[in-house]
Amino acid sequence: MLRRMLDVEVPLALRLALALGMLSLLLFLSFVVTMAIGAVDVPLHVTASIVLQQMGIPLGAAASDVHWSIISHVRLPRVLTAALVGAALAVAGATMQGIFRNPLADPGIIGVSAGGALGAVIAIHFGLRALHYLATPALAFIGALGAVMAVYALAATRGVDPLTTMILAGVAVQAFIGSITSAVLTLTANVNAMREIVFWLTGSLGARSWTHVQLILPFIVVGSLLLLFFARDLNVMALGEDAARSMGVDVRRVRLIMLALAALITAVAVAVSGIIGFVGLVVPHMVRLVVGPDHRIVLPASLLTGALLLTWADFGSRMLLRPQELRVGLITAFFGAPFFLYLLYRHKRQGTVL
Amino acid sequence: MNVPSETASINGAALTATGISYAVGMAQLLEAVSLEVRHGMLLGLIGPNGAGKSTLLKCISQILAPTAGQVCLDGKDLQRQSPREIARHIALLPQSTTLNFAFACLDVVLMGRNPHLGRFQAEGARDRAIAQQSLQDTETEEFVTRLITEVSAGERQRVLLARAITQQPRLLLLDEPTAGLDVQHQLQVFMLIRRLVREGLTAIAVVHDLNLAARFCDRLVLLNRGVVHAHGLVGDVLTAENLARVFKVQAVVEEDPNLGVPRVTVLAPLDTE
Repeated sequence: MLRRMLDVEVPLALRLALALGMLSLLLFLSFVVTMAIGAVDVPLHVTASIVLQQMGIPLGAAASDVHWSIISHVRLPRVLTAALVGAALAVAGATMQGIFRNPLADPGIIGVSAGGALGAVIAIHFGLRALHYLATPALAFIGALGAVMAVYALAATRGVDPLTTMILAGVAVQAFIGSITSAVLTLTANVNAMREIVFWLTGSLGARSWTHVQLILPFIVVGSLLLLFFARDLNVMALGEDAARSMGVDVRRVRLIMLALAALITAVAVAVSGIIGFVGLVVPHMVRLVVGPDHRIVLPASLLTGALLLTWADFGSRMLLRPQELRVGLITAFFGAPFFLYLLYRHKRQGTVL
Repeated sequence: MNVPSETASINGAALTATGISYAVGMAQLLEAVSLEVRHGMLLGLIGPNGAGKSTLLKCISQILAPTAGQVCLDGKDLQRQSPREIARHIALLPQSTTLNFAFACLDVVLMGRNPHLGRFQAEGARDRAIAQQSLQDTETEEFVTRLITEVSAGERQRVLLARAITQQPRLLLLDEPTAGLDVQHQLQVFMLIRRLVREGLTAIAVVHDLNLAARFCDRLVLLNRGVVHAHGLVGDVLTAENLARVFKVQAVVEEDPNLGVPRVTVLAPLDTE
């Protein structure tokens, strides 16, 4: 039924409205449910009304001060950070898969994660957080963008096929940066710093405040929206560079802009959350399974699905071993990897490429 | 005085390429290639592997910027136009297309409308009607909802041709349009191209099969190592001498009794010096 509603013969606008409408509703409900449950349970209708009031819609029940502050000062910023990071990773993943015409591409492929990790590890090792509490995200951001620029600079030198060169340069830069990260890690004598580094490398959304939300929101919203501008170009580019050129797409330019935007929003996400794997890889596949490969739907739907997925992954990280908190990167890898294998198996059985 | 102007409007050159050269590093892939295709004509590009046929098509459509020379479509210099503007007049069917995303065939055909659409404009009823017509022309309408990754090579090539036609070009460039197709579909594709050309489209096709080239093209250009070795009417280009010199084969060219066009029979490879 849903599949038929999303069929090619149904007009795009309708398919888009249907997919995005359902995902938005699910996302809102997930926000309310995951925020209501925790160390202190807040009734669902109270949670819903607080969220609505924060959105500027004065509706629903009055909340007690305790509930108000738990939801609006602790759980809401954390959930929003999770959703924004998930959205950024997923839409960046969908973009990379489109640009590289490779369903195995992931934002990490051009070195973003490796660079971010090095930046964060340096910040923690040298205790820079004592100087400023945002030193770790700042250095992670710089590291992430620095790595991408290195990959791009290496690949941009008169290569035969810039895309293949870029993937190879990405592998090399990742390995190189990884070795430095390991070296710094080895030199870290302080056990607490060591713990913090390991935590950062597995990704976490604990104790994220409104400051984090404010920091990443503009980048991720603007970056993602700009990516949507080029969705149809990405479709045409699926037929190959020559064909896309002959259909009027300035492939080199579009590719550069999209890579830069995807790298930027991934760097921002990595900066506040550490390394969270599999979201960028798996979410676009899940989305394509339902809505088909049209990037005009895949990109916005990935955005919302990524937000949805990381909201629940973060909820799982809080709840599974309560009161212990699991790293959210562990949750996404634990569930993402088997799911990805299932996709591979499914495609293998159907005899098609991913 | 009316007669010359009238013939000019019918036979006026649709495309003129003058002195096209293209080099990558030290390799000179094309050197001062000039050609002219008139309205409603199908020009065949023939030549051995590496002669520069595909490169020439890419230079004509400005996918590659020629290192020297000029390409004009109906008297307008293409180098001054944006990819989008060019794409509204020239469509290209590249040699091979690998597709990793499971688009429905209809989606692929509709992509041909890309240069005609604004950034946020979705395909409208008119675009769908044009796509529908191309699907009919290429006899592919039955797999509208099938996935491009799941149809056979021949079917896929016809869908991709439908996509190129949906672009509504005045000049259609085809790079080995029948590679990998069985004989029936080879004929179907060329008969379709022939029909479109009769209706006013101009086309240039890289053709490997010399007999297909002889049968369907109005004129031929024989390329060898980036240089035009011969050009003109089919019978003037497809000669045993030209084939020996360029393709290094011993061949017999005679008139086919059934089709009334030159038929090439290759007898043996010649020793290369």
